[in-house]
Amino acid sequence: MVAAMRVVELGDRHQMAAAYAGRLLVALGEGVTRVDSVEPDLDAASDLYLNHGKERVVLAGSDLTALIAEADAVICDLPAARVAELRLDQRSDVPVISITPFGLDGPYRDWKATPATLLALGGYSHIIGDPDRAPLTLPGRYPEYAGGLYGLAALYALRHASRAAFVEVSLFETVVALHQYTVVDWTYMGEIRGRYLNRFANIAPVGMYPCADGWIGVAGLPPVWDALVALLDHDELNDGSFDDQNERWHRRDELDRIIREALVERTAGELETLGQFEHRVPIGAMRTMGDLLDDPHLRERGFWSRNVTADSCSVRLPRAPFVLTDADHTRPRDGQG
Amino acid sequence: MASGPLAGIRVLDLTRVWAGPLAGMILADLGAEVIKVEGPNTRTPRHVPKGPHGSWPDGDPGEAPWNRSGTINNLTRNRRSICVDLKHPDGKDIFRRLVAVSDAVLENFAARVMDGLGLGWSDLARIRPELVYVAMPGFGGTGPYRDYVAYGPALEPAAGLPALTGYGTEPHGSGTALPDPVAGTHGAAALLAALDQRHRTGRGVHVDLSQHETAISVLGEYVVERQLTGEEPRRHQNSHARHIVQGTYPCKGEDRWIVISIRDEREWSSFDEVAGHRFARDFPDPAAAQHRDALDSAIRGWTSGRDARLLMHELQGAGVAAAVVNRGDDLVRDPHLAARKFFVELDDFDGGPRLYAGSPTRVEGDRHDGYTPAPSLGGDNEWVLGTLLSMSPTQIDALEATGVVATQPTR
Repeated sequence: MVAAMRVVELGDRHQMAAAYAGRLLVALGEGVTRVDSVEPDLDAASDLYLNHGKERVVLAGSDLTALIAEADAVICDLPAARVAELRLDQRSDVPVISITPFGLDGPYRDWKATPATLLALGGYSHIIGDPDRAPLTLPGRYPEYAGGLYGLAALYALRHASRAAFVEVSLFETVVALHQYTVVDWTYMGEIRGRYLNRFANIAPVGMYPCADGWIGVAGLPPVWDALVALLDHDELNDGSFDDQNERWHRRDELDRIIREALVERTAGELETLGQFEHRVPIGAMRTMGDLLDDPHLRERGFWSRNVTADSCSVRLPRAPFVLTDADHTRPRDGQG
Repeated sequence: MASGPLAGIRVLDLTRVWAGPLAGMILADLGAEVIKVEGPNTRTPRHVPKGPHGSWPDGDPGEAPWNRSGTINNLTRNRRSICVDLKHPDGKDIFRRLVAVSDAVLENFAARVMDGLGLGWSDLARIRPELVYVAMPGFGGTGPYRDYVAYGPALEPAAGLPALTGYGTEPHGSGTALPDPVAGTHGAAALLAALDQRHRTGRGVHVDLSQHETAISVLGEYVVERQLTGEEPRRHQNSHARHIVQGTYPCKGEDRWIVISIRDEREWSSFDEVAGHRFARDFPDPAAAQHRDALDSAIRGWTSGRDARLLMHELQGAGVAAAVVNRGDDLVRDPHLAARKFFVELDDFDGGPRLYAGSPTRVEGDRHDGYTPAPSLGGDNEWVLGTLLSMSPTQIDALEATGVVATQPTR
């Protein structure tokens, strides 16, 4: 069997795209050495989540050159100017994956970015939130992690081809590439997708609804409409007046009022169970982070597989969100890190 | 088909909607030969609803809407398409023969579907022991929620995202089916990691990818924070717990906004200089929590009436992370994306030439080489059956006559 890869992760102070790719590489059994050029701007929780299981070093100059020379691959999210300074794009001896906010050329090349500015510039924020209020951003580092995943895919693709190529991934372009409707609504129809409160645009009822003890998400897509009506059992729906999907969207305020009435005395857990097992309607009760840690499904799947101690606190870390099993079922790579 | 490092890899792509097709597109963009295996009724209204939901060329579904959907064409470039009924014994036989000459199968059905068809991992591994099989159902292949009906907007709350998103006490959805692109990007990486494992061991690999778990993984640091602090992480609206300033501020024009993130003292000083030193004077300790609302209000007053794009350039010129809130039309006109030739024009079968977001990945400076538009439904039936499976024209005609293969929906 071929040995695991030795990957050098060159980490930026702010961006964590390479760190997320490196996290998954560790989970897949590869050896990852993270090089921090300076103290990363990272809270303790993110550091533990992203960097547990990696070798950590602080290197510069010839030491860094020697480390790279011994690596099977390099994945980095250093700024574009630093990539050029280290001549990472000139190497022909090792695959290098460079993930930067804006790529290595173009007028924004050296601009600063955070997840919130990338979501704004990339068109996500404009569709999140209420039409009469400021657009919303998303929690966490979705643009960076998504860019890390494009980088990880490229790394394994190069490995398949036995190529020591230079790959660049732009986080701005990553966000723009990950739209379902925003771009094609414009290029196909000249329409600008906007914000629609706590709803999914153009299809009703799809969105978040309050219930007796919390909130649920309902994906009331056309194929499940009849089942949803049966579940809600409300006179104003049972009469068939909302059976046309276009009518449902046009009368969405009225429809949402009816649905809220139908849900007000039922709990989120009850609705999820009723929806999923009895009516086959996609309903998800909103979980908090604490709920996720106690979730029976995740526990049975061994998702919180790794116990570590940090700050005198026992912490459960998730494995990778995918499990690889050999054909003979004897060699699972389940992200134990 | 696209050129790239995955040349020589053949993937059978049975995926639907967004998560799985995105995974297939990432592989196809990197040069894999990805054959879309579609049922005759999978581009019908269930997946391409009529009315206001479809992105049709100039709003017109036309005579063959199954070949004209912007959302499907957007995700199906660089593919071949065979349209085959997998419920028919002859359709199953075609699929098994394809598996025998392929490297990987990618599917995002509900967990029980492929086993129910007799085409699950254990069935296919007998035909092709070296097969990589990626299943990406909503909640994974095991566990109490295994058979849940899963669409992004219902997965999202189950993964905790709205608990951290919103204006105040009310949770908010993402406005899109966020778990889908999260799962799709993980799916492509997982399939390639599995191919690498196959290369190391010589054995086939099964991948159990849970879209629920991928969505939780983009919030992993919050689950760790919950354990370290013993408290639920707060919903921050548009601010950031560790930044001196982060917010979304109104600018001149209807629904025009700028996002500004200031992470440290140096950026704060640069920001204040652009603003004519008006903020440092009134807010000597800008990070103080008790001043945050007043500072936000003062910044709102300063940005209101200013041109968002000019302000973005001014702030970025001073080294401050700032970005306009772009709309769909803004993206297509963005000068940086244009300079980098990010958008790619493809002439679809029945949709005409349109711009699509390209790949964010450049290999040795190249991307979009050899890109082909989305195929029509079953547009490669003859190539797949004749060239790959060596069937005669007579055999192919017979399969078409009995509806086992098709080029348009049967209902």
